Amino acid sequence: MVSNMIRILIVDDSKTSRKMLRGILEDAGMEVVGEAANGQEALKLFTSLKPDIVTLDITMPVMDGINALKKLMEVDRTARVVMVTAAGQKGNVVEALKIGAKEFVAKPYEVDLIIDVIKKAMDK
Amino acid sequence: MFINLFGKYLISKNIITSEQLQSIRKEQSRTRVKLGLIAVAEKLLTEKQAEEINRKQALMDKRFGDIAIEQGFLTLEQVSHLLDLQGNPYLQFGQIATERGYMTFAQIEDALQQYQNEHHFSEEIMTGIKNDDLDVIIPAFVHEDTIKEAAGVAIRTLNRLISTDLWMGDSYMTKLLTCDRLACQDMEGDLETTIGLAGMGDSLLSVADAYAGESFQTVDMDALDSVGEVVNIMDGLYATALSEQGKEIELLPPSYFDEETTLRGEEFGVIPLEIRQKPVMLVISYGSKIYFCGE
Repeated sequence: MVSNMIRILIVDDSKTSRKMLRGILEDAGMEVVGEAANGQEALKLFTSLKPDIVTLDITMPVMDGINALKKLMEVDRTARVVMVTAAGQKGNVVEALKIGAKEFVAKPYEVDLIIDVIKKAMDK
Repeated sequence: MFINLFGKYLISKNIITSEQLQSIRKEQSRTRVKLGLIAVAEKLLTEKQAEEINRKQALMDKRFGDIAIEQGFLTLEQVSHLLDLQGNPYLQFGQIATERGYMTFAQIEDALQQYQNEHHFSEEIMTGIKNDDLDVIIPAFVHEDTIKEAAGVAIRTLNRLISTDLWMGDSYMTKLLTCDRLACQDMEGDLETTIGLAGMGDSLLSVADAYAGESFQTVDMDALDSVGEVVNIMDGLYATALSEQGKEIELLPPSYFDEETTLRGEEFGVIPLEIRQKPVMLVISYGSKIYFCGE
C-alpha cells in the first residue's frame, strides 16, 4: 500500500528542536522518515530515504545549512527544502531562497505556521 | 519581576519569610490574567487576532500591546485600559500581603521607600518596577552601556519563553567566572560577541525544562541542548536588532559544558538572575569572544 503521508527528513544539530519538530509534524499526520544532526549526515540520508521535504537548520557544526542546501541541490534540483532559522538570519534566508529553498520558518516553532509552510513547500 | 525584586528585599530585611513570599507569589500567579485573554473577554480582539499576536511575539522582541498597536488591532488607549484591568503588580502584592496579615499597607509603603533609597532609584524607575516594566527595570540593573541591549533582548526572551518568575541583580564586569554548567553561543562579523546562560548545580533545569516541555533529571548534554536553543533564539533577536543598526553578524553553533568551566576574556558582563527561583548567570561579552577553560 502506498502512503499519502508527507515524508520528512529533519536536519538540526539540536536534539531538543528535532524532538519538538517531530512531535508537531507527527501530530499533524506527517511521517518523519529520518533525523540528521548536520549537513553531512543530511546528504547521506537524503539519498537513501528520498523524503518529500527536508527541514534544514542553518546554524550547524560540521556542515551548515547553506552548504548542505547547495549540495542537496546538486544531487536533486527538485528537492523541497524548508530552511529553519533563528531570527536575525535574513541574509542567510535570502541566499537560501536564491539557491533553491522553497520556504523558511523561524524558531521557536509555532505549530500552525510550520504545518502551513510544509504544505506550501509541497505545492511548489 | 516586582514581586521577586521587592519580595527578596523584604526577606533580606527580615520583614517577611520566604514561605510568605512563596504564598504571595502563588496567589498572584493564580489570579494574574494574560493581556490577550482580557482583550478577548473585553471584545477588543478576536481570538484569532490574539493568537496572531502571540505567534508574532514568539518571534519578535516586542510586548503584546506594542504588536497589537502595530498591527492596527488596538489603540494606545485601549492597551492602557487593558493594562489597568490586568492590574498593577505592586497593588496586587499589597492586596495579598495585607489580606494575609503579613504586612500593613503602611509597612509596605515604608519598605518600598527604603528600597528606593538604598538603590538610589528615581521615581520613574520605581514606577517601572511597580508595573513590571522590563524596559525600565533592565537598564536600572545593567550598568554597562555596551551590554544593555543584549541583556534586554535576553531577559525579555526569558520572560516570554521561559517564565515571568524572574529576579535580577546588579550586573558586573569581570575577566574570569567559574560555573558548573554552561550553554553559550558566539557571534562574529561586524561585532564579536558571546552570550550564554551559566548555572550552578542543576539550576539550569529551570530553563531546560520550561523550553523543552519535559522534566530532565539533571543538567546533562540533552538539557544543555534545550538551554542552547533558548540562547540561540536570544542571539537571533539580538542579531536582528544589530542588523537594524547596520551591523551584520553571523551566529555560530552553540557550545555546551556539563562540568565546572572557567570563562575568561577581556571584560565581559555578568547579570545574576533567578529563573523560577533558581540562580542563573547571564553572561555577555561585547567586542570580543569569551573563552573557556582548555581553549
